[in-house]
Amino acid sequence: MWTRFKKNFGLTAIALPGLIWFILFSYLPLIGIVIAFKDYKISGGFFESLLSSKWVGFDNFKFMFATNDARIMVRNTLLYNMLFIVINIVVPLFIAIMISELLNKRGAKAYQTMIFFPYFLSWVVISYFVWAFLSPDKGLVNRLLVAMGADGISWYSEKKYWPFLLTFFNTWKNLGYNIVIYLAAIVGIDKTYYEAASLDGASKWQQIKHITLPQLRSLVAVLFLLAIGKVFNSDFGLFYQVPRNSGALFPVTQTVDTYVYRTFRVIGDIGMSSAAAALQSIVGLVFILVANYIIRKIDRESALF
Amino acid sequence: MGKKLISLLLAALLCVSLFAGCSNTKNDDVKDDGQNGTKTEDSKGSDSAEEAVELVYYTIGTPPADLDKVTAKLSEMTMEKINAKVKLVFIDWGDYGSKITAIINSGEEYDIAFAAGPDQGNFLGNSKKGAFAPLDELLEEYGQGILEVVHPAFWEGLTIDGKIYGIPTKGMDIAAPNCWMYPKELVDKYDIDIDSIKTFEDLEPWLEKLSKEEPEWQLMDLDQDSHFAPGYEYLIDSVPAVIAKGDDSLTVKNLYEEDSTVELLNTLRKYYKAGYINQDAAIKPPSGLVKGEKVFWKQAQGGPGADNIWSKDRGYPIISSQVEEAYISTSSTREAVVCISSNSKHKEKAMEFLNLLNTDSDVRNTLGYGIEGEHYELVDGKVRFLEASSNYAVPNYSLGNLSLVYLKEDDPDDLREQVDKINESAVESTMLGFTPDLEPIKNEIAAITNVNKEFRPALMTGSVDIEENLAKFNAKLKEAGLDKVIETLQSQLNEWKANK
Repeated sequence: MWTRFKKNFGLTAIALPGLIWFILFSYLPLIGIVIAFKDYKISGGFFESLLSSKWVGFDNFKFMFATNDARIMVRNTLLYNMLFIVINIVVPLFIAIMISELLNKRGAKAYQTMIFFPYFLSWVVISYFVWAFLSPDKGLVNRLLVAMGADGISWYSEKKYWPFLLTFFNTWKNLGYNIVIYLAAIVGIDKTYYEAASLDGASKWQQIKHITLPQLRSLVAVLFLLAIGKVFNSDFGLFYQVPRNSGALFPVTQTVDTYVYRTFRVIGDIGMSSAAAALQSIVGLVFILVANYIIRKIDRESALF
Repeated sequence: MGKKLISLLLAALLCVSLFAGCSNTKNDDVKDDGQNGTKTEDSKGSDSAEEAVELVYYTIGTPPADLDKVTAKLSEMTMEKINAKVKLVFIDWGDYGSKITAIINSGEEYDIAFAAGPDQGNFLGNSKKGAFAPLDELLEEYGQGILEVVHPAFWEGLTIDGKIYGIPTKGMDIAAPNCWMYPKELVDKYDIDIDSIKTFEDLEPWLEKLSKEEPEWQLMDLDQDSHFAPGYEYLIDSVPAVIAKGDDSLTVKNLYEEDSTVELLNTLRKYYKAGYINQDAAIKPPSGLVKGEKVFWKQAQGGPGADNIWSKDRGYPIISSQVEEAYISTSSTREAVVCISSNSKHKEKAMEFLNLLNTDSDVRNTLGYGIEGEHYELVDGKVRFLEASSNYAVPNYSLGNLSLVYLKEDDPDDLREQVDKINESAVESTMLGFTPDLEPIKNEIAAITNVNKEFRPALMTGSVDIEENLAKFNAKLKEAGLDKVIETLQSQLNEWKANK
């Protein structure tokens, strides 16, 4: 064991920064889960307060199931995430294959960079872009509608448009990042497969179907598993900043994260907000375990563990 | 994102609590060096009376550019008077609530913090949680000056479970009534008798006229936080359980089932449809007055002297009229207070400092206006701002006894008398001093807070159809447990009244 460790010391050392990061930011904070089961009162420093606070069992979790709103936020979180997971696998995969088949390599680079750009914008910035288009009186879209003789739409109070809008923004922002991952994998596929296939007279479509896609299967499975672990979390910026915290849109924009934020920004109960975060993690863990189990049954190689 | 944020925060808390101890003692050492010239290795961390402490003071407002200069000057004064330095930290308006909550919950050491409503330091919640120290004994021993200048009604409102947790900073200015403000230009031009306008209905003929003749003016400016409940008093912010002002029977009602509310909402709806209210009102984030923005009507809490502040903010002359009688309620006493942290190691010094803020004109005015001769000068006992004043522009209401603050050049000479007059005429709430116990209705409040956020902005700005949405709103409030909240509050009120 020791000799093996010694032999691999160099490689292990490379993992060290990541390891330290995980210990500091993922493992140490786990202590905080305790807060979810306590009635947090302040007496001295953080640890002192933590130790002296009363245990309350699952009381802090109750608020999440207290009302109809809870059902709506759970539904929204899960449905949006499922949709996003599927779209964020299929669309980038499709475009990545298209880009990889482009003969004009300079063009391919240009498209890729353009698609990647929105990924680096924060949701706050994007929310202002969106505002420029959708604002009720000065927005581009409404001005266009009015100029064409139609009535303007009050975008921020009509909830029926937002499931589409949110899906569109999310895809638009994350597309570039996912494409890069798939492109890297496609480049890594052994070229000899394609040569052999074209010698045998396989068409481009047949090559994609029988070489590219099967080669990418493991990668898709891994990305899927990673995404499904976050199925109970939502992209806060997307659901809070982009709809500008508009109350009329809550039925379609309320997710677990925004509910927790809205509630405790005012009430400030750290116990209840910790409970929400703990629940998200636990649901995520369960989803990951189940999904991994299913994938392992189908294809052992592609499973995470 | 949320989970990441929370875990990051927790990690940060850990680091802070790990290092908090060392850094503080280090600071004390350094200060020791500078001030007394003797390094006292053995008294490290202890808090002997001779050692100069540094009081960490969090307050609200945009951080001014010359903060360091002013704090240095301030510390110079306080070193002389109470042998303590002050480290003043301004946190910007929008951030104050969330940052101070994080500071408090992480157990970070600080001494003094500003607190008000739930969005600005949550005086009630944090006092109950044990974040702030009870002040009765400290006041008795080190805060006699404060007890002398503060209106007695304040102590009734600031007492929670039998203990005083905060010191009001509004000083004598206890009952800031709701005012409606208008640009002087338009009022003069159309000869509007603003004192006769008390309700939204009174406003209508003018709105109608101006919408035709002054199209470049935004007639009414509302935002996400706008809400109106004339004649009612809230028991908990963000929960529409109210009692009517002056109601001795203390009957708790749902604000949105009152006829007057329905009427008010319908009026607002009419105005929104007519284009008087800004179209983005329901999604407009609340902000201060924007310089140069042409707005005909806006509501704000004011009082004597407020017109000048508003005019300065707007960049054109503003005049206002009071639309409600001055009213002293539990929540009005809690609108601006300073608290001492229960974690503070220097509670006595902190109280001595607060006492200075309420009794010492030099200290108070340095904090409020900056350095004399640099940021302002005194002309006939009144403040004239110098060019550098923009480098130290801080709110005054949140800092301590306003009656010590020098009048500004354009303030009327009898400003203090006007304030006193309002205070004397103010009506005291029938439930002054009552603090609801929220523990048994915590889950309901969490749910109602969200329902309120969902419907109130759209309804109170007239942005949606009232009949349909009000019914939905009430149904959801009921579902979220408003009835239970009202019942609980009612029984608590009855008990409070019986024991009074």
